[in-house]
Order: sequence, then C-alpha cells, then structure tokens
Amino acid sequence: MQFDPKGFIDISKELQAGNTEAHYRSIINRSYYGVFGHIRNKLGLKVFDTSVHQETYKTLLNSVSIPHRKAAKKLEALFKKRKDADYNHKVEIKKFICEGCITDAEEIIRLFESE
Amino acid sequence: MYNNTNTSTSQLDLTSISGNNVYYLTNNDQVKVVEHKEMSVLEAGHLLSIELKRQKIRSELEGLFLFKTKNNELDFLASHQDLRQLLPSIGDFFKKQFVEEMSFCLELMDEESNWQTLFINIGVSSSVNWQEANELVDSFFDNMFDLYPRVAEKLNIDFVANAI
Repeated sequence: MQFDPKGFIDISKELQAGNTEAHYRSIINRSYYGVFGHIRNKLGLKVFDTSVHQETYKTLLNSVSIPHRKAAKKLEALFKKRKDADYNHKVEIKKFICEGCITDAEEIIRLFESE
Repeated sequence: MYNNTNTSTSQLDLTSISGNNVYYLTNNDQVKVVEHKEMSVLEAGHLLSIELKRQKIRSELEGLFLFKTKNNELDFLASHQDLRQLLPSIGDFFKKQFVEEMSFCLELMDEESNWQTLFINIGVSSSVNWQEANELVDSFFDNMFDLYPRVAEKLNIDFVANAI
C-alpha cells in the first residue's frame, strides 16, 4: 500500500509536545510536506524541468475550482513559512505560528478534497 | 533636469543608484549631481527614473505597508501596475478588519523568474484565532478571484509573529 504523506501532518501534531525551536521548525516542515506530498501524489504530477513545488502550486492555481485555487494560495503561504523555518535561522519561530501551520495544512487538504 | 549648482538638498537620498555617483533630489525636485565619474547621462537618467518611480510607489503606500527589503517589492509593483493600483484599497480593507494594532509588511517571494508573489505579511499575536484568520483569507480570495483574478495570482497573505 502506497504511503500517504498526509501522515506527516499527524507527526507535526505529535511534535507539538516539544517546546524547543527545533520542534517548532520541524512542525512547520512536516505540515508543509504532509500536504504538499499528498496533493502532488493525487495530482499525479511528473515534473522534470521545473520545481515540483511550483508545479503543484500552479496546477492548483490554474484550476477552474475556486476551492483548489484557494488551496493553492494557502499552500504557497505554507511553502514560504517552510522555507523560512528550514533556512532562515535568524528569525525566531514562535509556537503559536506552528499551530497556525497545522490548521492551514488541514484546511488545504479539506479545500483540495472538497471538489 | 540636472542641476550641478550647490542648491540645498533634502527629501530623497539616491546614493544607492551608483557606487561612483552621488545624487540628491532638491526641494524643487531637481537633481544635484555631487560627484560624477563614469556614468553617462543616459544611464543616470534611466536609474534616476527607476528611483523616482520607487519613491512614488513608496509614497502611495505610506502608512499602509512596510517593506521587507529596500527595493524588491517596489520594483515588483513598478512592473505590475494592476496590483499597484489595487494595493491601497487592499491595505485599507485589512486595516479595518483588525481592532488591535497590526503590522502589514510587503514581502516579495522570488523563487524563480516565473514564480514571484507579493505577500502581505500580517503581524499577529499569540491570541490570534486561526479559524477566523482562515475565514478572512478565504473571504478575501473569494472576492479577488471573482473581481480581480489576474491580481489574485500575484498576491498572497501570510500571518507572521507580530513585531510591534
């Protein structure tokens, strides 16, 4: 049975038990990859000459479905947060922002699967 | 246009436009070239027009938005007129949505040449209700996709920890 990356969102919830910035950054990372991987697999994207992150976002954004387009916007915002969490170590990550990322990840999946 | 006399200077420091040339905008909007070593008048004029455009956009959005970087967001807006025209109304809209003082900062996400998005970073505190925040963004994009779909593609909203 194929692994569903959506399970990473459950891991991000478990990481909420931790109280270090490493936990917070990991929560954001797992939230993003959970929703991104789930949607990429469902869309069946095969990307060779561009970023698969960009292709997933653009595919949703170019959809005729408004919920999918809104999912695109939320996915893009979560992508930006994930990049900051992974690479921008100068800015402190707050715990309440992580909670928002988990909420966003679940909302993106709800929007994606509503059509 | 160019005025090499020793007029009093103020308002806008244009020193960033060249390492070898120092320009100032005078009170009557004339440019005083303090030092000019290598740049041609055409080059200087071109760079000056870019800087004046940045200054104009900055003044249009004054009091509504901060800018993440000195020029990236301004240059993006300079090349996306539709977004530039709508942004003051969008700024007013978001300011009216929040009772407490919030910061609104523009940040250009520049991943690749064909993936550039201007983010409105809304500074929130730990008391933020994420469900309400999501509903606000949903409502905003419902309207944007309906009324301004091309602008909606270039714009996004993010909630960040408030720096205020």
